[in-house]
Amino acid sequence: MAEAIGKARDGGAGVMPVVIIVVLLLGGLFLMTQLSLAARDRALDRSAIGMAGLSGWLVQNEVPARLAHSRIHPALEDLSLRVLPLYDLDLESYARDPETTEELLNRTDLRDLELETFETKIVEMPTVVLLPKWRGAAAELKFLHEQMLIPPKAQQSLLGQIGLAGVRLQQDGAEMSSIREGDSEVALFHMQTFVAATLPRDCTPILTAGGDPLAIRCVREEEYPIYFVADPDLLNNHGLGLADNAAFAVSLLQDLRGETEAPIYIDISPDLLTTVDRSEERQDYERGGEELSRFLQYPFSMFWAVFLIVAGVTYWRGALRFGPVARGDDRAWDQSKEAAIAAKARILRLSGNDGAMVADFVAAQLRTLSTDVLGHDQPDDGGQRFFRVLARRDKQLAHDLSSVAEVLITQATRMSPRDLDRNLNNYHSLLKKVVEPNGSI
Amino acid sequence: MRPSRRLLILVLALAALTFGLGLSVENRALWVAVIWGAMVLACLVDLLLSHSARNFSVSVDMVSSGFAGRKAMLDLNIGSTKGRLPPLLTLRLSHGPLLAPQPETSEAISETKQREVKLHWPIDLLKRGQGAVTQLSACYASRLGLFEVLPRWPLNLPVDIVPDISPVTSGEIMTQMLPLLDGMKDMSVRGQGSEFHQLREFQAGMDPRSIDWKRSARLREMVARETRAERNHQIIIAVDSGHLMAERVGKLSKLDTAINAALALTWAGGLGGDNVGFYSFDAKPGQFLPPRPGRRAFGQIQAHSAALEQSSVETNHTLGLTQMNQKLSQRSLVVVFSDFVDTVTAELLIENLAVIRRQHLVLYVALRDPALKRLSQPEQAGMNAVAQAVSAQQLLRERDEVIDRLRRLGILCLDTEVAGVTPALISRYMDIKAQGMI
Repeated sequence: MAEAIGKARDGGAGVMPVVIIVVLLLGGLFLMTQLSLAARDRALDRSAIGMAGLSGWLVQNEVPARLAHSRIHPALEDLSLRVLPLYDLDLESYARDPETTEELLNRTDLRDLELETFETKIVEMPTVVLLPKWRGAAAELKFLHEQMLIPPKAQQSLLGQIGLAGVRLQQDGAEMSSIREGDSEVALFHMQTFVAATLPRDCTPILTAGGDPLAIRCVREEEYPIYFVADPDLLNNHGLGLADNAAFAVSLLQDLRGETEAPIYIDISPDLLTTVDRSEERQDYERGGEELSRFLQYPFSMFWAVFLIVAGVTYWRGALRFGPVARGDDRAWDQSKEAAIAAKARILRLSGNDGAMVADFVAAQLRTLSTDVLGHDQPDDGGQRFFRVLARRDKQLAHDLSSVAEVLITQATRMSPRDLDRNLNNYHSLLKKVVEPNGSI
Repeated sequence: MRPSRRLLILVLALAALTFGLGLSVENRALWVAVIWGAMVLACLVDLLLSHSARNFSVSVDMVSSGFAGRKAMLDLNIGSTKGRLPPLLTLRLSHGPLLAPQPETSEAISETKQREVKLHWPIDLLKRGQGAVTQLSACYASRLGLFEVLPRWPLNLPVDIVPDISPVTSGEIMTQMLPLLDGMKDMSVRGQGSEFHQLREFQAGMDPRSIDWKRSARLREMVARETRAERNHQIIIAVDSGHLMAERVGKLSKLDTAINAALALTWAGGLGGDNVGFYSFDAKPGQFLPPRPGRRAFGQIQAHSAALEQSSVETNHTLGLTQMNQKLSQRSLVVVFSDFVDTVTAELLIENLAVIRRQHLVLYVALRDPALKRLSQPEQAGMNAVAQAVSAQQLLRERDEVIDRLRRLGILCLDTEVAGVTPALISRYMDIKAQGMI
């Protein structure tokens, strides 16, 4: 006995460390997966098509700016302008994680943004929306190539979702296009612009390149205007390093921000991080007797009067009874046996043995029938004798009843509920044919 | 008087209309006042035109006693001293738990210009005891149907409900006993008995086995022995008044049915020249009426059984039957009215009847419940009906097992339906007398 106990203890001591190690390994793998996802997300912002450089550049030029962080929720009142880069071609669907390198390089949904979140963001404050231009390869590799461009046709559905239905985009060839805007020269690689003829009436160009709008201003039903920039390279990490783009970006965003000193919000998060200060919405009211007295003035006085009349008439009718009080059910004793049978029958049904129950029922019924016909003290094959007696009157009926009864007695437990019901109905109808026309049988 | 449904619907409709007018822009208070005023005026006119219940005169008559399980007729006469009666009077009775008017609500319809209406209202007498009708309630509509008038008349109509002895009073028992009595005026019980009565000349058609060969040889002519049923035997009727006997089968409870059959047997025993005693028991032994001859026994047993109350506790067969067995000094016919549910609850009953059987002749009367038979042979083939049938079949099977065990112990059993228990019991008594089994 002592040896057995010692072995059991040894076994227990050997298993626990393994379990702990497996749990720690699984936990570590899970954390690494999460960290790698977050790292990939941050890598996008630091890549050529990311927006991390803009906030630093603006702060360096004494323009207050804040980069979105998932754990910081700034108040709307503290912000002046939102810069919202889009990395998603379909705001109504979720992107699937890439499984191969080819999928990773060709993907167009680099950061999922929901349409509802987008619509909330653009109504909260003046927003500069940067349309997508490059595929995932631009973020993963250290160079840009013509094949990494997202074709303008592929962006048509996105334009429809952000309220620019019918607007078309166009891209220049593999060259550096430059435009002069004031003292600054803006240069863009494969410049992407709107087709001027397709702009809607509520949108006006604010920056054009050879007649085609590069950025437009749209005024809709919302309180604030929305700015759409066709080429994100104007403000992203890659574009800021070209020509005088950086200086132009500062002047452009300062113009769009207006006179306020509130910072520009570089909203790279797909979530809605801003909060609304609702402290001023609370309103306290002084409640006096006047509010109550209004409930007694016309037409409420009339309603109360009608309510009282209806209540009075219904109470009057309900208060007077015709005849004696109805006695409760005092037949508990009278019905004791039937109640016991009903309860037992319910328990039989709940036990779920309908097949066995039907087999028992049919066997007992045939036994009773043979006793009624042939008398007591029948040998074990009283049922067979009964069927022989019945066969003298109606051979076919005796055969049918015998076979269906046999099936129900021997196979009812294995039948499906449907077959059981069908056979039972068949048996019942045959039994009626036996009992009704043949009198005592 | 109370508002009728018609008035209630009218008020609700006007309320809805008032709300509609109140929600309109203009002030419609005057319209509303006119509408409601018109309704109040209609109510006042209706009250003025309607029949007044003060003008009604009501006379009620009912028998002062009746048999349990039978009907008592209530004769009702409603007249109007001023004007005619309302076209339709709905009536209800306040009564004790032993009575059940059939139907519960009756209607008296009076023709145009009719000032009096008569009604015969049958009332079921459910149990032994004293029942009473205490109040008559009526309901009739006002002239415009806006009100229901609810007059009430207090009544004091007690009715004594006694065990049913109609088979005795109608001569049914006497007729059934005739083959045993054989028409003798002095009521000596002649016929198939074991006690010698007289010798008489043998005639064709007589049973050859009755020929007394020794005396025939001495007298040199054929004489036959004539026997008669023995007299002055003791019959003890033991009635279980426990909770199982409270089950209602048909119109009456099993206890009431047993008492009715016991009284018929008492009368038959008196006719047969035997002494009849009575004993009741439930959880405790009840009163024992020692055997007495003829009508004295009947009167005593009738009075005692009329006051026998239904018990709500389980019967103690051991205590009850042992106590009775101790009081029996000579061999008797013991007729036991009792009930059981299954083989387990019947164990003590069987055991104690077997003890009594050693010295006495025991006849056990079991009242069969037709509902069990009906449930065991369902009309429909549904699963719930089959489940009920299986449960009922099990109870029937256990009941048959108990009856079978009793028979094998030498106890006579009368397992019959409630409706035929009295004639079956008298018939079995005659058989016992004729065969000289006591």
